[in-house]
Amino acid sequence: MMLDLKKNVYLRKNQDNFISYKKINWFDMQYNDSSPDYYFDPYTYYLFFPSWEQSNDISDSQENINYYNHRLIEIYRHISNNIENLRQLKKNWDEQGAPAFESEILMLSEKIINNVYNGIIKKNLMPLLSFLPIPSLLPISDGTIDITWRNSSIFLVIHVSSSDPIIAVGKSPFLKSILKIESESAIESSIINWIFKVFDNSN
Amino acid sequence: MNNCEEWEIEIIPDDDFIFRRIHKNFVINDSEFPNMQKVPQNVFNEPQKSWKEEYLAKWDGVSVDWDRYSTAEETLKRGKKESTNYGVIQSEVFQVRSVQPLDVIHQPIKNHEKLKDNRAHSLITGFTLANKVEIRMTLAEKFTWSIQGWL
Repeated sequence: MMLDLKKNVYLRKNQDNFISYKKINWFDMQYNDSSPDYYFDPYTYYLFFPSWEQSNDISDSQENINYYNHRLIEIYRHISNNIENLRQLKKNWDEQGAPAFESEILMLSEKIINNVYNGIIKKNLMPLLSFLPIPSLLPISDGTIDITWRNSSIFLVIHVSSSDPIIAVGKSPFLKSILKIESESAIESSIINWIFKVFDNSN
Repeated sequence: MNNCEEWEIEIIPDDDFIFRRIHKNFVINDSEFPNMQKVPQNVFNEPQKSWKEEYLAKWDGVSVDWDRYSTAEETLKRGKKESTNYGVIQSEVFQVRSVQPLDVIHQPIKNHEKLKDNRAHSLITGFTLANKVEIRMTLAEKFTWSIQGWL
């Protein structure tokens, strides 16, 4: 696999030497279904290259890695569409005076989702990519957003506001304890730990 | 001004149903849209404060219609635009009241300066800043779709 230096790509590895990333400018990048997959944060998009320039101690099969890659692109394509749909909602979109969505809250929501998925990858909890449903960003009348993962196994909401603390609430039939977090600071790690508990109990 | 001077406020029985009209913009982002099975939690929110002050100043809660005075189709048609812009969700009243500290109260609209008469109008009350996210999620599990006008 060739590294395109013209696109200012660089490689980094996480601590367990399992995952590597190439950082790439999204606007220079052309998506191709036969090429490796991409995922993003609000400003920078990443290529996910688990097998590229790796040592021989890869702890997962190539088949699984290919699946993770495709799952990631599926997730981030959906999120991109969600964000664009929210961006297009004009003032009074609910017919009861709802404000348009500010760029600040859209970017914050993207950042949180990106942190969750980066956290899952960095913690090497790749099976969670398939365990978690694809998230939706649901608009609230007051200009806030609910990032939502929901299926029969999990119902997890991260309520994002640009003025109030972030609230996360999670429920699952596989876990008695309900996740409840309210914080100004990063909460992704606690959320991932809770998701993993649900996943662990479901097996 | 008394908005309901000609219609008595009644007690809503537990086994009656309530309907809520949902604008499609609430759900258009959902991954399963337009064939959604589940009711999303974001539809249980009070209107913006400025709108509320203009239209419903004295009322705190989420508007619904009581099935004693409205069908789901009638709730759908009370929207300002064509029915294809809306859906209607429904629940039995006891399901809502089972969520502490929520209640369902009758609040008919009559001779309002800006709103059409609606004898079925009622409110889900009990939302607070502290409980809103969890309450919305719980309510989402209590309601089902009655009509999806966009289908």
